[in-house]
Amino acid sequence: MSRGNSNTRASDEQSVRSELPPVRLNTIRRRMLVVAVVLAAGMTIATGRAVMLQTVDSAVMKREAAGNYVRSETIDAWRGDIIDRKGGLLAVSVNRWAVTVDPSTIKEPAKVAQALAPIVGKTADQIHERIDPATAVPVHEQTTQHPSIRIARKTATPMVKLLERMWQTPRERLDRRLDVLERFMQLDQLRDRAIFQLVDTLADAAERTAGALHADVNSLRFFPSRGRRFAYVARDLDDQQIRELTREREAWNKRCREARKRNEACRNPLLAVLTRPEPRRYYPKRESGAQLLGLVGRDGKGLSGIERAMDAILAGGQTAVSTIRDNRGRRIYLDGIPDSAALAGSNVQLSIDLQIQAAAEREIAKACLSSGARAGYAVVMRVGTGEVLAAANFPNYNPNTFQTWFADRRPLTAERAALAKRRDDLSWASKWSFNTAAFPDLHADYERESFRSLNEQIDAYVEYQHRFPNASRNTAFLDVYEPGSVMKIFTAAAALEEDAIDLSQVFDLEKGDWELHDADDNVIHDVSKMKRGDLARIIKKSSNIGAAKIAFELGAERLDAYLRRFGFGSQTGSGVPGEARGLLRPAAQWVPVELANVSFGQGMAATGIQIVTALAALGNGGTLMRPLVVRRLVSEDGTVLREFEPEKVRQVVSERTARTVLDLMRGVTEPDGTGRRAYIPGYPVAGKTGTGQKPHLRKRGYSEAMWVNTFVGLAPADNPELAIVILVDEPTGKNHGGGLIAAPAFQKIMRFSLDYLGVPSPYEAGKRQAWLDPDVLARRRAMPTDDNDPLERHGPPVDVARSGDVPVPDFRGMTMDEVRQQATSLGLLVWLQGSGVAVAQTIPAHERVRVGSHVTISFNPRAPGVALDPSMLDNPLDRMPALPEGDHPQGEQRVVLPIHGDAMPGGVHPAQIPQAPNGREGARDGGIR
Amino acid sequence: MTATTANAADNSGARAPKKASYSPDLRREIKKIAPWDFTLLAAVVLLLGLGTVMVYSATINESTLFDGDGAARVKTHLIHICVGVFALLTAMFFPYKQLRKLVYPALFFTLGLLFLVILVGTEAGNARRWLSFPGFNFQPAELAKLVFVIFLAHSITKKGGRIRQFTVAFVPHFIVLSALILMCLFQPDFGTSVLLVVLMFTLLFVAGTRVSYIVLFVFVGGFLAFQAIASNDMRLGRVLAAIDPWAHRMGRGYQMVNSQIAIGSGEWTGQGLGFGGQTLTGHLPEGETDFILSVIAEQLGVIGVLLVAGLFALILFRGIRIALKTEDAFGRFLAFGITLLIVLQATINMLVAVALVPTKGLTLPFVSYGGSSMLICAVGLGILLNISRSHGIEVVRDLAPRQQPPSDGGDGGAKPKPRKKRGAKASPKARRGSIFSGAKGGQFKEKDKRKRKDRKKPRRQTIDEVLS
Repeated sequence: MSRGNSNTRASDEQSVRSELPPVRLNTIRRRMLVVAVVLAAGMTIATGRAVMLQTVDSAVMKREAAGNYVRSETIDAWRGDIIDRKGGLLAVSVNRWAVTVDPSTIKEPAKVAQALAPIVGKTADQIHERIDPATAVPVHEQTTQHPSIRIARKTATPMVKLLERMWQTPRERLDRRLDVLERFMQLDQLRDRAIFQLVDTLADAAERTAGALHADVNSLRFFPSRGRRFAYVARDLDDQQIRELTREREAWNKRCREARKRNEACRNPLLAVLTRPEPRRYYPKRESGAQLLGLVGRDGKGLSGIERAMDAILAGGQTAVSTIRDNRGRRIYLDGIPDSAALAGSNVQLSIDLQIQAAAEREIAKACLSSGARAGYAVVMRVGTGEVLAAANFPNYNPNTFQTWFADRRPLTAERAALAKRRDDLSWASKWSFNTAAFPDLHADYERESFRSLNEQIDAYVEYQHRFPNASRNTAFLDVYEPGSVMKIFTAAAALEEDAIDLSQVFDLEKGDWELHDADDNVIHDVSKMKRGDLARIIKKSSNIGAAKIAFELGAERLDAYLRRFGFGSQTGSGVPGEARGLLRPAAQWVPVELANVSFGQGMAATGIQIVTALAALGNGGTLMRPLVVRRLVSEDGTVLREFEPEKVRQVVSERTARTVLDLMRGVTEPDGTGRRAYIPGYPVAGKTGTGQKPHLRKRGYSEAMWVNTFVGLAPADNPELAIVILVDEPTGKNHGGGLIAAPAFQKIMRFSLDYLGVPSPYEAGKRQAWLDPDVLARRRAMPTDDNDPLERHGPPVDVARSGDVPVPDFRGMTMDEVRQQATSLGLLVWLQGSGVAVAQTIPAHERVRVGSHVTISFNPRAPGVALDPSMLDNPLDRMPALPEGDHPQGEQRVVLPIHGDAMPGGVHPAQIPQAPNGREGARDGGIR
Repeated sequence: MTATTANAADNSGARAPKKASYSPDLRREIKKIAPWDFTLLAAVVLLLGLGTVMVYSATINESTLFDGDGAARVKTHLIHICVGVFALLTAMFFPYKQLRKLVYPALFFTLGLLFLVILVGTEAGNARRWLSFPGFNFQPAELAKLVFVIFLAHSITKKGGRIRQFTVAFVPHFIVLSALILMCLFQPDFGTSVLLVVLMFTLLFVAGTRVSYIVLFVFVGGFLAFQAIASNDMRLGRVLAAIDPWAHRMGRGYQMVNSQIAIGSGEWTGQGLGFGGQTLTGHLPEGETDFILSVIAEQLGVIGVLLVAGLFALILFRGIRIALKTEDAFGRFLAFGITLLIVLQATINMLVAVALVPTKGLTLPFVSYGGSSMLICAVGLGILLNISRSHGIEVVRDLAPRQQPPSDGGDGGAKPKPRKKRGAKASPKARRGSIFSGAKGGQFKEKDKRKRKDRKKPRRQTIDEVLS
């Protein structure tokens, strides 16, 4: 190596045309070696660092790497179906797709939007708006917070300004200013000179900034969603559309490959577009039971109704799988693709019967529409088990297109948003109050004006919400109404159970107006004004005064306790989420008039499910059942996972009392009862009408114009199978009332359901038509009867063998032969006193006695068909001879009662039956003024 | 090898005159005395092979997606290699001294191309760096690196001792450098600019310029660089991200962080060929170009990193060895410059991959995907190999017997001694003539023939034939 040293030097020296000696070769070689060593050192550092990363830090790095692409994902199970009690599909999940993008990866949004538009069925502009990366640039990094910058700020003073200018880019400043401008524009106060000038200044600033950016100020946009890494392009696409998207993407790929071969730039616009499956809930029966079923959100979570209550069961388990995901979101399942069958959620079988549900929906809609009501509901319950067979609400909506429905309700949303915004603006303006000192009057005017219009808007909002009720709301379970007179049956049941009254007790009905003489001088009114009447009559004619008097006999504490035992004031436990508790103040807080009010269903409020459950308890021999909405859980292959058994909650009243109340309620559907329109040929029906008042929307007290018409009923009354509650909210017609509007709906639903369920009539087929058909009955009563002909028999035949506990029939108006025949068929022993037609009996009608009991019947020598002398009824006790005590083995028949005039058979023509004026009855005038 | 030659020389000294009809096998002689630097070539071939596999591994996913063929990129890469090998062979057999004639035309040609890039270049990413031709793209900045190295070698050689002068050392080179950098910054190509500056100062340092001048420049340049960086928030962001990439892991530090993760998750033996998680999932960007070291590290682990580093160290060692051995000043500087060019790029690339230096956009020579880089590196390597051999060829030529012994004391003895005034006095043309006319007949032929008389078909070749 040292060989050619001197020679090279010499040769170089000769070639150089300068006076300087050439650089020594050793120097050159030494310097080369120095450089080589430096390079080697650099490579050693790099290698050393790499090896250090691979050995010392490898655990950390491996963890980071796993964090990058190994994901532990949970796969949601396929949401289970909801089926009705016969297995009909109510809610199913269908496979749909969503198209998404990461806006930060979109290079040519216009092109992407153009390519996507025909596939997803939106305009290119709409898509562009969503995916434009200009609205979604990455979140600005906090460079100002970096420690090195802080050091630089302290040390390199001259640099600070330069750096600061860099961080505060014009774009950001512009955004800030335009944001302020926007806030101002929302105030309608641009006419204010000071504000206008301020806005003008800001707009000018915006113009200048736009000029600096070489941008048009009008084209500048605000970026509410800046920093997005995810955006939906379209959702709810079907397989066909996704196939089309895939095909289109492949076509673009091919096109681009060819373009790249020709050495042209080509970017596949659909490459950054991602798809993901989004199962969607579909309701094949559309409106049927929609409110009860509820809705499922986009994320697959149940939002309301059964979907929410049973969410955990329907959604099924989640399976944790570990996957590898690349930066395009494509994944590899490390443990294989999980078995979809194992993942499926359970199906939920409801107690709802689709047929009955449909009938109920049809009838409640008819009732509401024909009466111009704003809303209504009908609930059908099976008495023995507490199963809810139908829960129909009006108005209805189609959950499959609930977005459209929601859009229809948009005005309400807009109202609410406008209110919120206005409130914001006002608080903002008052906080700033930039020119209050300069323009005090103006500011005061502004405030006053603002708050006045705010109040108007709130009024409009309340009005709107009232007029257009939320159709997706399960009103029967979630909303409370003051039920009105239907509560009288529970008052009566409580009083009978506590022996506070007896059936023979006659109440002074005050000729329709009863002044309570309390602090507020409250007066209770009746629609049908009567002088006096017993319990049967009070129920039949729906006397508020009578109910109040019964309640006073009973006392507040006992009434309260019984109502609570019937389930009022607490959730029934049906499992429907958000079920209301109802309003029932504790008895200790009641004022006297409140006791009266509660007795006929005012001053308290209940849900439909509460009423129908309590009603079914009466039909079920006094046993309150827990309402059953979900019947069983069924797995995907059909095996029953869990059966929800009927559950007894408590025995509210004795069976005897319950049957007595039912017998009383049968009077309501008799031709002269308030609920005669609920009469079903062939079946005895126990019912009760109700007409409740509604409070004013915005002030105290009850409205004169808003009513709630209700009807509750059970059939067949002697052995109830079904209980139904009907409520019609605010019928607008001139004539209304529970008997006029709700009862026909009840009749139709009940009739259909009885036929549908095959509930046998308690009467023989041949006797059906004869019994209680109002026309036939009227005619028969006007005519002499042939007792031997079973078709012409007035009273219902009673199957003795069925029960050892029979109701005492109403013997009044019967001849001796008839009485004997009736008593024989029932198994009662009778003592007959006097002759003629029966006018009184020792055991009141509807009272339940054991077979073989003795009843003493007084006869008066009158021809059948001749009305009784009313004076005879005035003092009944005087006329009845005292009976020997030993004649009454049960010791429960104490007095022989006179009979109300209107209930007397014979000469009373149905047309003469006193009716409520305008068809109204019930609690109309009973309220507290 | 030296021992064999000495042996041969000793033997021939005793017996050569006896056989007049001896004709040496020159190819064989040159192979022995002036072999191609096969070690260097082997290192490069290994790198090419490794690169091919790794490019395939790094691009298979994207290629499948974009081109419908997982091997599409690696096929292109193989085409690049073929072109590179052709260029390498051409450069190997092209006498490097001829390059001195081509320096200025090449320089102007490069400047023209760079200017064309500014005018009609193809844009990709944020930079306009490519010239589009039908069938291929070319990156003139890569050419500029090699041409600048050749120019510097030529110019330094020409300056000789005057290189110590400030004006002589810096002014002309600075003008050329400024022109090139200006063109590069228009693209913008910051990495190439930095590389060119470093190349210039290193070569000037090696040529013997005073260290104080360079230190001065480093200070002034450092300040200017700070200004340049601080005035552009993209560069500033890169620098900040390079200081602490983990704090910017979702932004500017994304590449660096993911590169580190890829390297670190390789551990000792790597995840196996084709099994790099970061690479396959696309979290490692530019895996086939800038960050191919990370791909190698992830898949082959410490072994792969050490292999690559070792091969480049070998290239450095062999390259410097060639530079040190070369007697010709131009050849020396050229060999050094090309070695520097290749190894410096590799070093910077590796430092970028381990996130010690901000991202530059420099490839790993012979390994990364990229046609221009491959072509230029191959040409550079060819020149290097040519230089490595030229030294030996001269030895052979000097040893070869001549018809007319050189007038300036040609010894013709066993001791190889280069002629004194060859490089200095003669013009390139004259020198070439002397080279090729040098070995004609002589005592060595006799000796060789006699030594290998069992040879079936002795081939007579002139040294011109051998070299052409």
